[in-house]
Amino acid sequence: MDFRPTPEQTMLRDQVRELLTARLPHERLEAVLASPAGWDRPLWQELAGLGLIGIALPEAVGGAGLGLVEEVLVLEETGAALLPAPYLATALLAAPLLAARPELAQEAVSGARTWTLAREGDVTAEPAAGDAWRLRGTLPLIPDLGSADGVVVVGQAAGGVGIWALREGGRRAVLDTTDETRRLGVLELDGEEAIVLAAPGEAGAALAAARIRARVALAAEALGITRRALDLGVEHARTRTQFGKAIGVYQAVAHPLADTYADLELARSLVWRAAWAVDAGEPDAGLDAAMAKSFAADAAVAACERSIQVHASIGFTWEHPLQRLLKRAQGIAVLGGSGVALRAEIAAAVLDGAGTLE
Amino acid sequence: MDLGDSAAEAAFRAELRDWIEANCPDELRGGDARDQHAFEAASRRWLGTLARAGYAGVTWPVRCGGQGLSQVYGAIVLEELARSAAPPHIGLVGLNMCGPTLIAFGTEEQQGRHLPQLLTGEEIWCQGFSEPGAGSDLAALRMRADFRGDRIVLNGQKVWSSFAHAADFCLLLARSDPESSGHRGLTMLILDMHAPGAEVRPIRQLTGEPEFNEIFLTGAELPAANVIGPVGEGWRVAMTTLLHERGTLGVALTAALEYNVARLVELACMADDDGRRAADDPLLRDRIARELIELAALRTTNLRALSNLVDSGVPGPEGSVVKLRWSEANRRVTALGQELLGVDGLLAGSDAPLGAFWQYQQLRSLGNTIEAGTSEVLRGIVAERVLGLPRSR
Ligand SMILES: Cc1cc2nc3c(=O)[nH]c(=O)nc-3n(C[C@H](O)[C@H](O)[C@H](O)COP(=O)(O)OP(=O)(O)OC[C@H]3O[C@@H](n4cnc5c(N)ncnc54)[C@H](O)[C@@H]3O)c2cc1C
Repeated sequence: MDFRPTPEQTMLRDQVRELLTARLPHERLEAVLASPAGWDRPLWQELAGLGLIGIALPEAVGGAGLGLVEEVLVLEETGAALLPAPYLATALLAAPLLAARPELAQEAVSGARTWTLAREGDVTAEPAAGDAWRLRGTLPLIPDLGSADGVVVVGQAAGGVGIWALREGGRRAVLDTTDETRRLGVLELDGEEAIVLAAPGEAGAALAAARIRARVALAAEALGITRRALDLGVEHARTRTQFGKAIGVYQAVAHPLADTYADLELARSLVWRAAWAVDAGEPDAGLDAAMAKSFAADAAVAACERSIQVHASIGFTWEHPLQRLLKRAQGIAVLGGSGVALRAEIAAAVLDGAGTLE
Repeated sequence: MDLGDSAAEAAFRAELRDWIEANCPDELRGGDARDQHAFEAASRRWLGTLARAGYAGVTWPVRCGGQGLSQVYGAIVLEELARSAAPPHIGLVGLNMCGPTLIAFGTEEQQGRHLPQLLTGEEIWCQGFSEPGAGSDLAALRMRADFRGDRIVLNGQKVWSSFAHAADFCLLLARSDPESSGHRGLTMLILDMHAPGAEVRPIRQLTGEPEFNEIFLTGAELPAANVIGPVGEGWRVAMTTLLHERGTLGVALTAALEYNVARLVELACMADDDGRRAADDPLLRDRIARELIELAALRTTNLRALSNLVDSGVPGPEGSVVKLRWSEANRRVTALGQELLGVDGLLAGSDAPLGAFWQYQQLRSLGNTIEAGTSEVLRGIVAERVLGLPRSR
């Protein structure tokens, strides 16, 4: 057993942290969000140039052949930086499914096309010419639809549930969302052509794996948010003075920050554990992912709330990054299964005899 | 990053598990309320059995009677012992705190004299740090240690010393410089508990058991050779003891929590006469799931801490986090166990169901957030030493 990042893994994390800190100072983030596109395509090209989109994809499609352990180190940084680009959606949700079509995966890895995954909807598919199928139906509340060029669509056909790649098009409406760094959208399909990734009736395993990956990835972003909210809180507690002293002297200020630190360390353990379990093909990886997501999302929301309280009024302003961190955390808390739903799954696995404690 | 046991670790674990299964005496299993004296005697014999099989002090250097194995193996032993609910209870203070302190600061003579006996349970040790006026503020202690030639004379009072009533030796922190105050002028000593002038008075805990004690020292003497580390540097020695207390103990504590959570799951899944299970109530399911998550988080955090310990040799600040969260989790888990018993949970002693396991564990857990540093003190350590916030004192 050796549960530490390797020197290579640490280098990767530091590289991403330095890049995102340099490229996304708060004013830059606000400018991106206020721009017509609403997301940062130049930065996306830069991430692709560094090979980050394909870290966990096979080398055959231009990836680095690494695993989810490396991905969670990167995602902690995209969460902390509030990256306004669909990294999680493209690299973690869509790309592993696109790998069924190497040319599509390659295009994603190169940065030429961003993607997201839409799995909740009433889409039906029927065969057209060759590998193409025609899709019809509505997909509501798709994460990152505002920044995704293509959409991986889960739908129903005669043979069962299948997965298709829609490279472009469809009627899209990007919605006004609380978390402006990850905008939700609605996609309506009226016979658009899409390429089949998993034939109807053969999508089960891929979708189950995608769900586990999504949970671990969201939990890893939550870790970054928790860390950033804590750093901001500590910095403020050290520098703001009231009654003649730095407010961090008061235990009613300091102890909640210590609680956030404890949450952060425990959450990091769960996230790394889940990522390792997925990479190692552990049978309980799904349980580990549910635990990581439930814990880390709650921790991130609580970390933001505590930090806002430590900042008081300045933390309650639109200009302050804490409001963005809080809203991204709230989004993470409900995407991929709410805490209540995840804990119900965990309880079922353990209390109804389907899983083990170890 | 690799969380699994290596082949060698897995083999060691499997062998140990079988060995515990075959050798652990029944009267030690279960952690129920029981006759304290019989339990302590059995616990002492168990330590000897462990030592003869080479499972005591596995991380200690070979010259100190250990196996010289890495912390990972130490953790495996603690985990497996706690899973069988048979920790070497009465020896824990000696094995986890006094031993490592002697290894770090003791003379060769002291190590040769005490460590082998400590491993086998022939010597039981207690820790004499707290005093009536010095709890969280340990540096306020006043126990006097006066050097007279090659003898040291002790006068003062210690309190809350666990297992002092059964102990042969005490790791005693005392003030050797009467002019000093605070961290300076303290010296760490080895006190023979059978020396004239040393009196132990058991204190009954809220569980009903007298597990901790007052120690009155009136002119008790010890040879100057019993100083651990430099004279006047007792604070530095004590900090090592406390780091080990909070650091390595984390694994044992978490394994004990794992045992309690497993019993909680078992209890919740028991059907009543109408075939109903507490485990079918959605609110209880959510509460139990939260504890399963917290447990997994603590276990994994221990593994991370261990990986760092293998590198640095010194427990890191993770220890404070684990102790803090473990103690709070154990209070919730045991309270939930007792809650599930309903009115039956009011029964005590031999009238109580399940050997009064939940009643005892719940009450004992209230000490968890006090011993080895109160939760408030631990939050302060995290705030000041990890986060770098200004000192509150
Ligand atoms: C079961 C058990 C076993 C024990 N075994 C041993 C043993 O073997 N050897 C030994 O030496 N001691 C032992 N102790 C004693 C234990 O270490 C002390 O009780 C503990 O350090 C607290 O000291 P105190 O009881 O004097 O409380 P105090 O220090 O008086 O604290 C009272 C309250 O004030 C809070 N407080 C104090 N200072 C601060 C601060 N700076 N900031 C915020 N809050 C603060 C505390 O958190 C607590 O809530 C044991 C205790 C228990 C319960």
